[in-house]
Amino acid sequence: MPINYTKTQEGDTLNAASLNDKFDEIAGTAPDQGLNNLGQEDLERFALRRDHLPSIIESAGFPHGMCKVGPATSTVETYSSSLNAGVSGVPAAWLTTFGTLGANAPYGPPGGADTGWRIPATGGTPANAAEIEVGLIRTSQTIGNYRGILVRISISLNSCLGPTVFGVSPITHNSPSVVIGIGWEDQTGTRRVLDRSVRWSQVCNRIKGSLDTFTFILPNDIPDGDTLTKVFAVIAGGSKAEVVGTTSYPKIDFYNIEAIPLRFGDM
Amino acid sequence: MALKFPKRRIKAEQTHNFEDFDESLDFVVEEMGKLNEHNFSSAIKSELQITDMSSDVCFKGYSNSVFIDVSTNNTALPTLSKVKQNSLWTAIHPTYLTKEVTSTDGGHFRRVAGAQYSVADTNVDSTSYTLFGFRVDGAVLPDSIIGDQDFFSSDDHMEIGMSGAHDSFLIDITIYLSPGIHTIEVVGQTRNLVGIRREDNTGTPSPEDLYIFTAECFYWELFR
Repeated sequence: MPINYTKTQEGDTLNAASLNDKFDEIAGTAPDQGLNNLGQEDLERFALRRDHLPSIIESAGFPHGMCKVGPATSTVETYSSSLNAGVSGVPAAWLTTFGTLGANAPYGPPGGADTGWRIPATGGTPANAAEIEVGLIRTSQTIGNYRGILVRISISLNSCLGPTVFGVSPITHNSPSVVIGIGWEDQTGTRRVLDRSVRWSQVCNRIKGSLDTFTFILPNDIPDGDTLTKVFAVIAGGSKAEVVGTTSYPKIDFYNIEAIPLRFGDM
Repeated sequence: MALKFPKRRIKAEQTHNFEDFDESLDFVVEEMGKLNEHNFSSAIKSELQITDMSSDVCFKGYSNSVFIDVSTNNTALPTLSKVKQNSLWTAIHPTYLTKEVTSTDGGHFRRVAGAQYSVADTNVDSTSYTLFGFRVDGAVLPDSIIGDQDFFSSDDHMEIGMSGAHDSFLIDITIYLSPGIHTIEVVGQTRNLVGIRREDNTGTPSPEDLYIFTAECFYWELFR
């Protein structure tokens, strides 16, 4: 343990209790009180180590940790939500369009044909979501005290089947595609997907695999003064020329998301 | 003895680790045992506090990206990066992803990069059997290659590389780089140089270029 003694200040009470409290701060209260509880390694040469340095990451910015993995046991669910809704390419506002069906939209599978992004969440439960709570305000060229946040996601694709077409279909550019990305939420609850994180994968209807992407969230991604409250993964089906209801839907199993806030100088 | 503290000053352009602090403090602590409060001036504390680790620089980093929408698969866009069917390692979006870095002391670098790739609509099943990786100072790092870890010995037709009319890759590796100037690139290589290994719907050899749309990179010098 790092030795971190709090000095007695002028005006402090000086008695047995106050002395013992300060020694207990150093080495804990059990099994032996005070300095007796220090280990040999605390007193040896090179005892100074990373524990003595202030943490670069403040826990208040990530109250529930910096990674999320779900579900606990294999659970395959169908995300019957289409990104481009039958238009060639993507429609207007595609980065801010999220599904609306289901009890906790846009979390989890919608349960029916829907349009827009979904946030992976087994059972549609927000607590299970591929989402990390954050509490950092963008000020000038920092987010909180950081230059940016490195976010990486992976989603286990089980299959990608059309609601009306089964079996191996001819390979065309309109073949089933899965689209993934990384989004963020502000203090008003507005969600946006970062365009550079979006990846399209033509999976035909026979591929199992890992869908991966990352992005480094920069201060300029967030309006000055806004609060970054969440980062999350998104997924949707996609096709160049299909409409909602007939485009293929990705079936996914496990997913994870991690976020690393960083301070650094220019390379 | 003359005290020089810290022996290694902390500077914004360098990376650091706790061993630096140990080494800097160790001989000072030994000497301190022979000193008392009369050896120090009242100003020494402020002179010693040369950095605040809770807000100052510990690492060096670089990020860059380019967004090019792939949803309409417009492979005629001049902004795309192209990997031709020539079996050569080709830099991907060098304007954005290639970075020359200077490491004062050498250190561990984490590099993360990813991109969206696609082929033309006219040859959608010409899946490209493509490898991706990092190239440093002209040498591709075998451990960074994605597509087939064992690409030196795999079957040269069926087991090499990534495929898909459009798909993406993500490579993520941490390696040590020696002190000095290094050039980091993200590279791709198509493996189907010969026509019979690359067939279109009619069975006619028809090599097609691979097009790189959106791409992003993040390079992070961690510590010595």
